[in-house]
Amino acid sequence: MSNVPVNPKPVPEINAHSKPYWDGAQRGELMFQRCRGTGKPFLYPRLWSPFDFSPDPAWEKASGLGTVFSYTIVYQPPYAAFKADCPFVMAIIKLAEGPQMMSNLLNCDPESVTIGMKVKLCFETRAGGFKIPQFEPA
Amino acid sequence: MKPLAAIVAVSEMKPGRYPQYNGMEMYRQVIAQFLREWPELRPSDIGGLLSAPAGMASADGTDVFAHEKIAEELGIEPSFSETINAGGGTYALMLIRASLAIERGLCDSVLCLGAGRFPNVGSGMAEMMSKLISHPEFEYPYGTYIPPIFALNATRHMHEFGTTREQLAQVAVSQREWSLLHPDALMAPQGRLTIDKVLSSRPIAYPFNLLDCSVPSEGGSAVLVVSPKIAKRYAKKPCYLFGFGEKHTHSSISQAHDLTTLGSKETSAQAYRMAGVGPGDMDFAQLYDSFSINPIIYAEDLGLCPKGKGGAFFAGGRTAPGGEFPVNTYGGLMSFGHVGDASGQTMIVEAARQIMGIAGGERQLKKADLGVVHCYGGMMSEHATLVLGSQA
Repeated sequence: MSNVPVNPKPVPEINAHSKPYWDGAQRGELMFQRCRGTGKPFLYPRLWSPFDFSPDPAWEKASGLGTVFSYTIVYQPPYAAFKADCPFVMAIIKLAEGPQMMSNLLNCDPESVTIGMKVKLCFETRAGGFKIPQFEPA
Repeated sequence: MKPLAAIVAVSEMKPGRYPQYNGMEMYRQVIAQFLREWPELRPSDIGGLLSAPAGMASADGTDVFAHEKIAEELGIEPSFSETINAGGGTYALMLIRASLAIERGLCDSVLCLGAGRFPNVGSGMAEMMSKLISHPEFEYPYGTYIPPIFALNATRHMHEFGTTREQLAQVAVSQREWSLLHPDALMAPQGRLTIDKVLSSRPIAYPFNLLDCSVPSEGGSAVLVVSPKIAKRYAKKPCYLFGFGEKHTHSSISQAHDLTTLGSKETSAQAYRMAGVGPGDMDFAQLYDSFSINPIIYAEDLGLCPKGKGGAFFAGGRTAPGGEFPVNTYGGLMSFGHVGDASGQTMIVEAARQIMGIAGGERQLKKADLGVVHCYGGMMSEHATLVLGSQA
């Protein structure tokens, strides 16, 4: 019996096509895709390129560096699982490689967050030891 | 200007809480009120029927066959009918679809119906809503729900253009003033707002406090659209559709290409071009306002003020009753009530009432010859602009 409380926050329902993304997260890596036709990077994962429909986009490991494109400080939780976290930061992160993704900002005072702030990849462990990519100040 | 279609009859349920009605019963109540207010209408006056799904986002499930059930209950066999959904954008799209069907001769008239509600957030419904309004795999795990998603647009707008929380609050203050002139407005009994009251209300998601947010409620409305050729048979002063634009830019907020210039820039340009008018010709605007940032962005995108000046556009009560340019003349979603997706039709009902000259009392604008309505669905992702006016 562990005394560590189980993180009540949700784990995603993983789809077949996006499994490499979540497998990467379990290894401590943030994966994104690159269009084989145009060379443009993107997230979230898809079975084709949204730029030219070329199939089977390539997977690459991100540097884990990025900036805050926009953010909010959440005072009222969406539901009970996030209650203990309030106030918490929800942010759109622009990765150094280009793609944007949703994240929280961990390990910081929410009031200290600014747009353009440099952030780096970290991970949050949820139920069943499942890791989800997160960001913290760089 | 060439009219594309004409609105000749509208009605709207009083926004509130109606736990005794399920999705279909909400539609019956909307229709019964519509028929009471327009007693000369007969089943033969309705050639087409458009509805939104019944019981959207409710625990008993969403019915996408609403249109066929409603048609049967109305006693009509429409030659053009479907259930469509683009959230708050649905009803502007209905008007667009209706005008196209009428133009191609599928029917002479279309009844557009909406009945919306917000789910109770207990028993897993908040989680379900989160998966519905944000990416269920790549956004939902981060605690997404509606106010913080729109707050991302607001924070970015403040960063790019120096928009202030006082300017956001002014949107709420001005709209409350309008709601005091509407007999059915949900927040009117609460009385006037001040910027200080908005700024001292409880924080929800920075930069939004409680009074920066619309009021979740339930309600619905009906709009009868007919061919311009027969419009005068139904109304002395119909409300004509002169132009429209439609654009769907994204679904998940993290995938939006821009948070401060939206699909509304393109849809309004298209609508003005089709109508042969410009933003300077408008007498009023109805701008979908789930949160205080939205009308600021739309005023800019619709060309009512320059990009980045939306905050100043609302300052000092410029858009309030007696101000230079009326916006959301019924109180908007923030003070009339946010009746789920059907709020998109509330704006059309109000625009039509203003143009038809039936808004009543002090709310009726002295000059309402041309107006622009902008609705969106999803997380400001599905956009539609309508140019409406009185002169055929």
